Amino acid sequence: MKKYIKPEARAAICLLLIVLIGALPFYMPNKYFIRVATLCVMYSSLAMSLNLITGFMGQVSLGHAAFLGIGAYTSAILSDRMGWPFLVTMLCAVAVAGAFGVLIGVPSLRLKGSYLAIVTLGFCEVVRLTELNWMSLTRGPLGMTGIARPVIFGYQIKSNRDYYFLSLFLLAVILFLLHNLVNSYIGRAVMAVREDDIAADACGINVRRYKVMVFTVSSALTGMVGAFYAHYMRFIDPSAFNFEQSTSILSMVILGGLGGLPGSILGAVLLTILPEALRDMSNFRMLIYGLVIAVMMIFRPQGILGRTTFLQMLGIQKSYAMSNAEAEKRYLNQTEAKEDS
Amino acid sequence: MEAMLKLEGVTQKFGGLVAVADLNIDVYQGEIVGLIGPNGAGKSTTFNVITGVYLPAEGKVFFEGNEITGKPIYEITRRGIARTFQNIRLFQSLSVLNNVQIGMHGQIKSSLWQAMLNLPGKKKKEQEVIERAMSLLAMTQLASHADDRADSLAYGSQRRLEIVRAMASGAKLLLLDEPAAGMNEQETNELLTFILSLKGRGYTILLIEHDMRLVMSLCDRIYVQNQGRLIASGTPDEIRNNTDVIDAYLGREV
Repeated sequence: MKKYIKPEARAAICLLLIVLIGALPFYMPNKYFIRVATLCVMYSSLAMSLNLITGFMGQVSLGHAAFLGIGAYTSAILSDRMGWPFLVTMLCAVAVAGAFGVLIGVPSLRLKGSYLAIVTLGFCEVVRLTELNWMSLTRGPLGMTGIARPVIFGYQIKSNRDYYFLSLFLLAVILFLLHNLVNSYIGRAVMAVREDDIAADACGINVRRYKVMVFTVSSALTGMVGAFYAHYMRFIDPSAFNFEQSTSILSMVILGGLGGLPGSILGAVLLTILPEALRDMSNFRMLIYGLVIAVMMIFRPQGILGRTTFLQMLGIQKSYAMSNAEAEKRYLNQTEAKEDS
Repeated sequence: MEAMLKLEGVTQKFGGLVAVADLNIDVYQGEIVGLIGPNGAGKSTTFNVITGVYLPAEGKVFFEGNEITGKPIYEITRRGIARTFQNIRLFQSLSVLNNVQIGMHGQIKSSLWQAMLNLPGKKKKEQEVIERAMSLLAMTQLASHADDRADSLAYGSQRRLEIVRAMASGAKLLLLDEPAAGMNEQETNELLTFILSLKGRGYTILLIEHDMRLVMSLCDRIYVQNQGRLIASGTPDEIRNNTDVIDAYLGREV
């Protein structure tokens, strides 16, 4: 991509995309399309937050749906029982999901790879079974119905368009937080853990701290999306937060590219639209998921966009390389300046 | 003068195998000290004990007068001991600059909120890190490769980058584990000059090495380990003529 499209053109394409995405409900007023678009946006948020664990830190998590469920149930229950407003219940969902993230972050200190994957899978099942059987709290298999529509600063969210913009807003928040995080000293430390945790430790990185931190941040953000999910669907039951849900989120991350945020959005959009387009063949959905991923693993193992960053997409990636002579000159200037002072 | 690094009766066992036995080592400020011995003598294990990877069964490790036995690895690095690895352990798919930036991690006060919300101070912190990292790369002729993936560097440059990463941690004591392994003669010569220049910059160095020419011309003092035990210590000349060392490691000239 780098070679074929000029940076200016790339920036223009990206701007155009943003406008197209923002104005979607106006030129595509069809309810169904807006609903699918909202799901695309929601799954983009989910995929990005899972990418932090799996792509940037290199730890496999098969239990991401659990955090979605924890967020959804927390917000739904608090809104139902306490009548608290959406923004408050959403923040509670973030906090509760984050707290469970710490819980699953701790085993990640001792386990890696497939072993951790099994633990997260088990965690997902435990959470789902709890939701299913704790009748007095969650109404079990009956699910929770009639969850209140959000009211935000006095504005009642009701149309599909409102929900779409709310989901876009959440996506923007998550994108902002994650983009900043991965482009910081913490993001680098997290990637160092992925590359070689022993060397990371030897570089003065408290590996345990970052592992727990990443699991917490990722689950908290997922919990936030969960709150949106509950108040958008207005009906939740445990079957929405099962292993299959976890694997579809993971598929999106892998398809788009592990360790690159734009890829997660692309992966989420593709894998949300694909089953819709193949609606008549919904029984084959998992088969097609599998096929898409298998084909990609063969031809493009790093994912469609790989580790491409937003800055690279916009063509504003900074280069630091300089000739050694130039660097030496700067270095000497610097040391002289230091000696003078 | 008090030793910068002091190992007192360190013993490390793996099941029934005694990898390091009752080891006493002193490294003084500004020295280059060699640790040599045949394969399996326990040299790398000694490094792992010093850097906190292993908790020794017996004995203590002191750094600048404070005991560091059993402290976490990252904590020991932050106190001023950084290392390289026998088999290069760079962050391979990250850029050369990133590797050095990560090396500096222990010196940054990292805050999740600052990083995530782009709070004031982050940009300045990042800028300082880049400047320092680039000046270190400049010193080692790696500045022109700053954007390249670490694993795309030539072998000798990778070894050098690993040393730069260790220096970036702000360490005063560098532990180099076979820095010349796999290098050709010219690369070894460059390495020799480079390590000497580190001494000039005030670094103290403890190194494991099999290349005797390098060891003998670099080191102020040498410790010889065999089957976990220290069998000799002294200046290069003393070691060269020590019969125990010749029998165990150096071999006789025919």
